[in-house]
Amino acid sequence: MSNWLGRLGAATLGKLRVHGDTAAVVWETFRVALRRETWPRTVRNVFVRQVLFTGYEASRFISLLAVMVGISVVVQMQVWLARVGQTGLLGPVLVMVIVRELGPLLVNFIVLGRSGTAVATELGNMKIAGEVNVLDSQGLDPFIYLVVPRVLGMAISVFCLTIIFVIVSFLSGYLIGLLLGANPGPFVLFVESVFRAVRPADVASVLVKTFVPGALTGAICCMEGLSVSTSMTEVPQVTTRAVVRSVGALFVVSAVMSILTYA
Amino acid sequence: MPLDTKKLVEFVDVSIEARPPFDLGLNSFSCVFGAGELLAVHVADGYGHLPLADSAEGLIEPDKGQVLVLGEDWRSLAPGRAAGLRGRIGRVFHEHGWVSNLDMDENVTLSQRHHTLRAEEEIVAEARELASRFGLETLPAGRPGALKRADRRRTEWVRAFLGNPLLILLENPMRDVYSGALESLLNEVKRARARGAGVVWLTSDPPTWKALSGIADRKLEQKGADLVPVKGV
Repeated sequence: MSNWLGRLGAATLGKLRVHGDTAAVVWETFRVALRRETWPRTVRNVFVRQVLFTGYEASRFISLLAVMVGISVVVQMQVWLARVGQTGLLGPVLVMVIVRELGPLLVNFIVLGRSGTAVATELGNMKIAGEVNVLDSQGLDPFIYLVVPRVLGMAISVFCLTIIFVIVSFLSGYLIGLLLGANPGPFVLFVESVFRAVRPADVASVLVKTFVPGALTGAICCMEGLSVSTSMTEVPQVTTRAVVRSVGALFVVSAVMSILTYA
Repeated sequence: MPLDTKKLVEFVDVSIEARPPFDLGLNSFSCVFGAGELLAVHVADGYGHLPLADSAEGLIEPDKGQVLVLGEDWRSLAPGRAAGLRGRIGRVFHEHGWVSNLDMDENVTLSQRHHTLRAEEEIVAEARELASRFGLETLPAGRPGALKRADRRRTEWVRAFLGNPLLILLENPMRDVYSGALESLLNEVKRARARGAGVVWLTSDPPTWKALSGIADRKLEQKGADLVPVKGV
């Protein structure tokens, strides 16, 4: 019995330690990012490349996804709210569904699947090939050169992609509604109803639900990638683990933030 | 403030257990070398990967003893200062020495771009000059994996000498390279020493060892985990 309890306790403490390490990596990333000496041109290059890869290159796919969401969610709401005579609720409902929940969640998923896995795999392969040692031996701190720009690049990209997602889904929803004769009303009124529905808590919610999971995904994928030690076969294993942990972190942050927003 | 380079690197009774990726460890190794000196180390063919260069750079901690750089223990240095000092060390690696997601020219100039404010054009011009001295037509571009091994190795020489490093660590630099290129490397070592750089050259190649025997300040030979001094050729 005591053995069983001991194992349970050890496993729990182990999990807590991993979460603590992840939080420490995120904290340290933002702390060192504020120092000027963290940003020589080499690190700036890695940061720009990360934003290009995670943000810019994903923007087309995110926009396409936003169009689909716009068609399925915005149009349906226009139709159903008009049927029950509650078109005035269109703005608040759209903000609640797309801005607060769907946008950040979908964008985080796409970034994780597209860039998070790439980061974990890339760093895992670099570690196995001794390339991290090559950087270290030239005086490039692997944390500053590899981790900081990736974590920040992913956090900023998730935020920017979410803004794109929200704008495109609203616009496409309005246009498709117009084409299908769902009678969305004048464009100005539509935009006004959406803006009127946005509260400071929504802005805070979007910021937290994009920056925090984005940074956590970056930190988790970097940590898992760099944890590879002896064999190439570890790379897919750590990538899978990175995805599972990032999804967990994403849902926890989203749930906590939703509770705080609605409470 | 000018650096006191009389003792660039000092090993004080250093022991390191043999563990991957190294073939052997170090056993109670003591040695000091300073500016302009050449330390030649003959390592056994096939067992040539020693933790000497990694410990000289403070990348691995000795199990026993101390490794000092410019009189300070690597372990006592702040991370920023340690990284800055490593930026002044040039190295040809025993094995894989490249970051595969960077092009060759980016790899070569990486340390200089990271640690200095020199203009990119100036760094590239110096790298091209070194490349031509080593018999390369130009500074190679493209990913490391797309280059011939001999060219990749000589490009590693370029990186090791770029930016007037204080210390140059050459781990079997002639591997994969035709023997005719040795002369150009020896000439560059001579220039670097004249500028005040210390050079550690590990080799298992008999013609290289012979060439080094005439010019090295000190010679060591690997006997198991021991590095023992050698007198004469």
